[in-house]
Amino acid sequence: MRDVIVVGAGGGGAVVAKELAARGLDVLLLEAGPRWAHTEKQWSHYERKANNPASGYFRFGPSDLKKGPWRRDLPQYCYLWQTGGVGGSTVHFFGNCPRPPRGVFAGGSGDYDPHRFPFPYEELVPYFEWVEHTLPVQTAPMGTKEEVFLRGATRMGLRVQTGKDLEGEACRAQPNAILQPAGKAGKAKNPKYPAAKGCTFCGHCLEGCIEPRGAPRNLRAKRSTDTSYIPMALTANRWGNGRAVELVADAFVLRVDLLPVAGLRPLAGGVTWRSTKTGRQTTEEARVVVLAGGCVETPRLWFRSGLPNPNDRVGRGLTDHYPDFVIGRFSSYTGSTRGPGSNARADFPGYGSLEVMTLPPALQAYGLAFSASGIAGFYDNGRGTTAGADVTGRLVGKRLKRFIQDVDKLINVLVLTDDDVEPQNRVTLSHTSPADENGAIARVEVPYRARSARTVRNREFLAAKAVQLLRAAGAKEIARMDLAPVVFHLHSTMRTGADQTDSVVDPNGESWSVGRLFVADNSALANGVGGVNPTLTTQALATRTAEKIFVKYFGGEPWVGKESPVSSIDAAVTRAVKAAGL
Amino acid sequence: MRAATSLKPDLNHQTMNGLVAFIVPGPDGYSKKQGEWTKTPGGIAAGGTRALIETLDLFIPSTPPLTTTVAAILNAQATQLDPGIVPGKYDAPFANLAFSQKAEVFRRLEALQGPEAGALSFLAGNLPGLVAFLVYAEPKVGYKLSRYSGVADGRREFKGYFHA
Repeated sequence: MRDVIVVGAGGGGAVVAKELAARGLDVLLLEAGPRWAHTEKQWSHYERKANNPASGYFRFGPSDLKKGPWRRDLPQYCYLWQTGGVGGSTVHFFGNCPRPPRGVFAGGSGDYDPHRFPFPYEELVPYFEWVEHTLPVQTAPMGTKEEVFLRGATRMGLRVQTGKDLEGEACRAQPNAILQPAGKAGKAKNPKYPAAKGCTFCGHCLEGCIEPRGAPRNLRAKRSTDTSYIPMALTANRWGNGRAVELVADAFVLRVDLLPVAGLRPLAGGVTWRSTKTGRQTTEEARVVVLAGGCVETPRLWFRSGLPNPNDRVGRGLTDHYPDFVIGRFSSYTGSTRGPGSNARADFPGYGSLEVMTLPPALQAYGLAFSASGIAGFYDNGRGTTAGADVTGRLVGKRLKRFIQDVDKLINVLVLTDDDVEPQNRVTLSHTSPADENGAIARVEVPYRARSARTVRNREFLAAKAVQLLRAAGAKEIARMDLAPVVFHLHSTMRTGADQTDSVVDPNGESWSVGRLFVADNSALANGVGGVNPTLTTQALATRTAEKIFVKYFGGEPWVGKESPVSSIDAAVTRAVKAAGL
Repeated sequence: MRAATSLKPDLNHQTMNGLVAFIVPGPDGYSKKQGEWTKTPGGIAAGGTRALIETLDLFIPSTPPLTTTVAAILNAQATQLDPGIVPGKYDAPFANLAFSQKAEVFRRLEALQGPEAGALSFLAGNLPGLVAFLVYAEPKVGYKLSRYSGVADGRREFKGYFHA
């Protein structure tokens, strides 16, 4: 019997696995997708190889790219942008790690009742600090597009934030889980480690970070969990006094196995998984099971396992930041295809946030042709709010070619809305699409025309701010896309809460209805964390959940705030990674 | 004659050509037929049609292939919009439409109500973005159209740190 089985090696599961392995527990980490062990050979800077929704190595699907993606039932115009594999969606994330606004926590201000986190902000701060040191999180460097963005932000009157905690409307360099450039990084076209260290400004965060070439796995610039927490988890016996995690990739968990307890809530006793390569099924027992398959797959697994759902909250309340996309066209060079995914941001607590975004040409074109407001110049689906921009709706034909005629003269502003937890946004099992080899598939409903008044208000406010910022920065033409749901920030389908009738897991991350069963991915977030990038909050919460597991079920003591964290770029970790041949 | 016939694109291919030309027109016959074309190369020259067919058919493997279903939907809408659209230059009704008529096809697909509306809305919504992605991901044409400097391991772009 294992001490702990963690289902999912993405942004949250990798954190729980590493933290508990560092305590010496026997941890089995299962991942449905592939493990990218040789990324310099397996990954590419080409968008068509990485980001194609059917054949790209970052689609949500099995290792064998010829098999296409795993299906989801999506009954509306949307695009669900997740990846499968070790690292989860952090392999294509931007590494942005802002702390969330205080308001979304217990005792905070703002319109978040009844969906606040069940503890105050201050309680999570030590866990933020722990994660920020482990990744590590560093202040982002500037390129041309950041200069343009921040020029616009300061001209529109935003002050500059210098601390980590949100302090009202302000702009700043991003706090990023990306190593700062050193040596030739950011100063050469083909830099190699060790002459270059940290971010090389290649502009390919969305295709996976393989820079600088030749660096040990834990010294890659972007701190996706496959370069930070996973190497630490696999070498916990080498850099510390822990026990190395056993990682099994291509292992799709089919069900959580329960231990019935007479008169009491059942207990999680293990899991059964299926090898996506051989089809063989394996069952393994554990004292504790942690679900971290993400906001879609965790509720899917819950339903497929027949686990209790007494309050009908499992899968409900999906928040996605109701994203929007505003693009400015400039008459001079902006460097829009270069540098990390996003190095500058502006926060509007109570509304959400804006961030400048790096896009290579294909994803740029995709974004310009994806809109809930129809096709520019022809129809707008009854929407068509420009928020002050010159055009809204999909750009197609000559209009698209003209707008993207020089991709390095654009500035992209991503709108991340502080959106409400709403019951109609949900994950269930599909009853209309056939099951796949792993069972009934997930149905994800995000009706974009049925958002709360506050969510719509916040998005319109932010879109108008984005237009204002781009005008102040000197844009000569602005397009507001009014995106249909491009769901890449997913949260809160297995919400934590203090009220047992309105949440799935308790304030410690343990299921209200199944003992020894925890949730530690974005789905456990109580809400959309106020419209800021969620990964830091998820990882801080996952660290806290790991601590709660260790204390409650293994008789251990808390460590956050009492010990010093070891950074994933510490020399001891590098030695361990090299010795383990990772 | 037989060789010439076999070189003629089939109905699915023609339909996808008509779609690719709609999103990224060029100097090709499909773009000229719709009345919106450019001197610079378009999506068809970028190989967008083949990439689109391969992507669709892998995205949801099915019988018939997804491309066939998509083509049937577009052509049905085209015929409903303009019953006299065939016979025309192309066998595929959608490929014979004017640019504004193609936009109208998408409007109608997005406006559908009923049990199948969700799936059709998903398809109609995603097709333009998918085509745009595939065309601009192609280095020879897509990079040229967007003046993208190409992929690289690094850039000379680091300018320092921000100070208020």
